[in-house]
Amino acid sequence: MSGSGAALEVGLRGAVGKLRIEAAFEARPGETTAVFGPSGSGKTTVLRAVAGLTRLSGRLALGPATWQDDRRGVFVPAYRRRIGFAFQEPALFDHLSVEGNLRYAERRSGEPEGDPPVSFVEVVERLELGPHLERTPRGLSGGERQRVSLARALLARPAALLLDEPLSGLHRTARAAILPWLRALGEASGKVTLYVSHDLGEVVDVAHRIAPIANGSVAGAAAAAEALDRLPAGELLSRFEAGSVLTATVRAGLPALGLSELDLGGQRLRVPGAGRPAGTEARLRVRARDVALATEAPTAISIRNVLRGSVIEVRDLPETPFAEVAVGFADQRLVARITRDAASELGLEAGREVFALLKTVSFDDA
Amino acid sequence: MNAETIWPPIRLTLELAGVTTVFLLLLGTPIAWWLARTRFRFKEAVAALVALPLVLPPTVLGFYLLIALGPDGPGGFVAGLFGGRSLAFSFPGLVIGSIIYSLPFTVQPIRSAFEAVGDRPLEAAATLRASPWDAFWSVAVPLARPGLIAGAVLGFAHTVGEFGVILMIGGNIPGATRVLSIAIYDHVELMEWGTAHLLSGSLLAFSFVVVALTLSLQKKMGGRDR
Repeated sequence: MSGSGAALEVGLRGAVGKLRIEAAFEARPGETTAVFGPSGSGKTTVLRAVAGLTRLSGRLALGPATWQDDRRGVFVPAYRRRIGFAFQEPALFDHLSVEGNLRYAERRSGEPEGDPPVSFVEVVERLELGPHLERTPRGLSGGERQRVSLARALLARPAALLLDEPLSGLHRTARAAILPWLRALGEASGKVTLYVSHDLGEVVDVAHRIAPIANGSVAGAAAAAEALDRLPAGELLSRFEAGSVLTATVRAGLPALGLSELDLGGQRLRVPGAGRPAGTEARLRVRARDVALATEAPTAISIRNVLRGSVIEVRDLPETPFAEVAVGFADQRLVARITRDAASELGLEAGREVFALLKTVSFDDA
Repeated sequence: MNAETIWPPIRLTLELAGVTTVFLLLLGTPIAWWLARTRFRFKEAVAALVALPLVLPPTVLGFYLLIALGPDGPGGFVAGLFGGRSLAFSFPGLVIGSIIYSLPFTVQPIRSAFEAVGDRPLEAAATLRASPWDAFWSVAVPLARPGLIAGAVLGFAHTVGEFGVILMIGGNIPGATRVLSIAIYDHVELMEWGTAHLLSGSLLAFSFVVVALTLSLQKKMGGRDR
């Protein structure tokens, strides 16, 4: 379990109830791969099958370790797979204290290999479990239980960390503090992280790559920004959630204004929240409906964020009055949803220089 | 009323119930675990077999046990290995009869407790690299502890109170097979009301404590789910 970890190859199919599962994707070491889709799409089943808790047919391997290969009659039971698993409904051991639950995982985690594993102290501190160590799980709130469950999974020193909506019971600000840490932890340890969620904000915060799932089918993982851009509106995302992800660098906090100033390929952006340390990376989700386009630099306007770029493509949304316009800035892209009428009146077409107007409030607090 | 007629049956009864309870746990716990976890199609038939002594008249059970433990049954064969003739009318015979007779009282609460534990904690243990054997001892048994205690208490108490089966397979040999319930019967037959009162009153109090204890344990166990 060093920086050069092993990739998880998933090739599973089967039926659970009425749902037909067909999952084929790869999750790379050091990266967080989000299995992203609506509820009932089979996300949990795929994750359980990777853990060995649910049996599908096919092949499953973590680097050189084959966990399942039906052709060779191989099926490694869950307790022999180097995994950490956080259930959506945390399955804590009620007969042990919070600390007892964590030590249970630690005691069975085996000898550390390569890089030093995440320490008990760090996990307890980052997940703010210190004051709860002596308590029994039954007295904890839903969010506290989920944090204990996540901590326990991490302390199992997994080569593959499998998380099923592990923070769904937490408040958004608490989640925002944990997700970047989780992402960085995966990067540092070189382990595979599979993160199942139906929450787009969460996925944007945590995922390097996204494997969209719909009706039990996962057909591969792609880089987060690319995958989000390709997601069909209305199917995985509700119409108004379609959008794109921008990666920017924090230039400075502006505490007096409660804003932070970001640098996006030489252009300036201001987003809410002054607490971001300068020099860090900020990931911002911009919903397509929150972006307006202009062909000239606007003046005397309340919108503070104006980005200059050029149109990459204009895509009509069938059966709606809208079109989606992809705009490129350096190596990043942004999608705007405007009416077809506006698109034709402005004469938008590939290569045309435009100004994208982003309402400050449209940024997610990532 | 003297100590020599009162204490031997009490001591024998406690010995019998104690030994029986140990075997009930050793035998009943795996049976309860299997009944709680298996997907075997005919598991309820096995459960019915275990529960049979609940409805069977003790004399019927005692009759078959007498044949089985006697010189011509398997019990006689086992006794032969140790130089005896028969397991009937002996302490080991009483233990075997008591185990069968009290088994449902031990298996049922333990099975319910294992069922209440459910799959999730065991799955969680598996994801934390606990083998099934490890998970059984480190998760299932501690979570089912109230059920295990209830099973032990009920098995013990039920053995203390048995009469019919013992009369059939143990007879009434003072110091060897004459247990409390049979002693009470004898005292009544001999019109020794005082002794019968004392022993019966003690059993009444004992039974009340046992039932109260079991109910409170089961209530505690029910609260575990919430």
